[in-house]
Amino acid sequence: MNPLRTPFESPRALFLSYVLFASMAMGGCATEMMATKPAYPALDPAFVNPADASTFQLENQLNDSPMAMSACVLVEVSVDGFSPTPKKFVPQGTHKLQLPPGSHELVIQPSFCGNSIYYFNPIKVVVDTEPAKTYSLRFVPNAAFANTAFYIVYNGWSRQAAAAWPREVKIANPLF
Amino acid sequence: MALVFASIILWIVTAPALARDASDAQEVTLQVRTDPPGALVMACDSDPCNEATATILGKAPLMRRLPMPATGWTLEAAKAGYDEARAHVAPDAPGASLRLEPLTAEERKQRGFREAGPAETLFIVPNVVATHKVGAAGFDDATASRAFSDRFLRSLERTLNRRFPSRVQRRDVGEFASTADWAELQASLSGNRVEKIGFYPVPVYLKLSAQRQAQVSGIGGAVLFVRAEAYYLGSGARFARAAVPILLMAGSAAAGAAAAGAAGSPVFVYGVYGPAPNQDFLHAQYFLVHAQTGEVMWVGQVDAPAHFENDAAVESVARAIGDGIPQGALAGADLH
Repeated sequence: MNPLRTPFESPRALFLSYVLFASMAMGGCATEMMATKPAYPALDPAFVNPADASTFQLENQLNDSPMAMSACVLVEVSVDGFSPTPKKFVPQGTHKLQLPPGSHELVIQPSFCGNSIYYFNPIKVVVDTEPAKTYSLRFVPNAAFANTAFYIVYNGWSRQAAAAWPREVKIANPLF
Repeated sequence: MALVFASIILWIVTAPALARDASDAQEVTLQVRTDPPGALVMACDSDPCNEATATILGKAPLMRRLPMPATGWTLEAAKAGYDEARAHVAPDAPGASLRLEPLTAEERKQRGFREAGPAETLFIVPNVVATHKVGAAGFDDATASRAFSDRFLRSLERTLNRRFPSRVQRRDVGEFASTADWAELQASLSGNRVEKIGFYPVPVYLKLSAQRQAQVSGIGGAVLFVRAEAYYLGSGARFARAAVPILLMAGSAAAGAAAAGAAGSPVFVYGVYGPAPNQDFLHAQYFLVHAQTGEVMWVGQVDAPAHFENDAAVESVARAIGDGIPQGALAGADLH
């Protein structure tokens, strides 16, 4: 091999770098990243009577794999400054939390998989929960990927409480 | 050289101080309980609390992970009908339990509590409900503006009628129909945190002149003052939005090609310009007031990035207002 040639001028090295890059981009699913915030702690019985705790369900139905045909959207959620799951992005499926009844601050930061030019603005919602009631937040994909990227469905709250909360989540930088 | 050396010295001197400022706040898990539960908790940097700059944390009990300054916070809890309670928390003791004492009849009287029965009827009083062409004031299409106004108000009335059957009426009141009237209503709320309305020990009342208050009382029941505006781009602005970036790009490419040709370079550089953001949006604001006492029961606003001819968006803004009105506004339930 000519010592003056860079490794990428060798066809074999070039092919191997492509394979390495592709496996990093596709195989390494972003939902595997660990949460940067601490996990929501178990409720202290001295703080809240366990019978009074509200149950909060997080249901993620969005496609989180870049290999699927539909848009791949990752959602990072913070509940009162804590992470509801051990992973940075909420994995597909249902996740349950026990919360003290009262006000809770939810911050939802969606993003597209990979290096997309499109991005979302964070969504901040303050929700109230009552003792011994169950509430759920469901992320539902948009069937036709047009302006709206996905929907948020709120269950358990009254129509009054949820009237002004965002339901459609659109990309923040539509060009046209 | 001396200047560079002086800059380095300055950085060495100031960097530790800046680092200390940045690390001043510590991440803590704040836990607040109130007796009775459901009081609104605010965090203040000063004692006594400055309500205007305080951070509203929400209804207790609450648990939050957040950055707290080394000096801690003064927490203030408020609930309608109770005296406010305070406590100090610090990063090494980030928990508090506050007890609120109910106001006695005498205290309620001293603080100006106005007793009144629940309202029987809800009156929708529209202020300005119209369209505005951005950058071309006075060139609005009056027919389109009227159509938007009709669609918005009909949708609001329909939503409220579904929630409070046969108890909702629309009333056009000349004294509350201008932008100046709206500014007067807004100014009468100054000094109050909107998020705290419904939690003040004594309700917030409109601070209006006797004559103005008499006009509000004359409407009767519960009054929903509403203002809705639709901002949109005219056809010329729409064309410019698309054409200007294309012209800029073409000009940049031509200049780049000419410069490259003059220098004998085989490559040239040009800029890519995107269109300006879309300006179409809907903006609605509203106050719900008890006509007899002037008590402000509910305040809010809704925004939607949509054109006024988008029926679904207009109706969803109106529905958000109608759905958000507290059920107790008419049913006689105690809002406080």
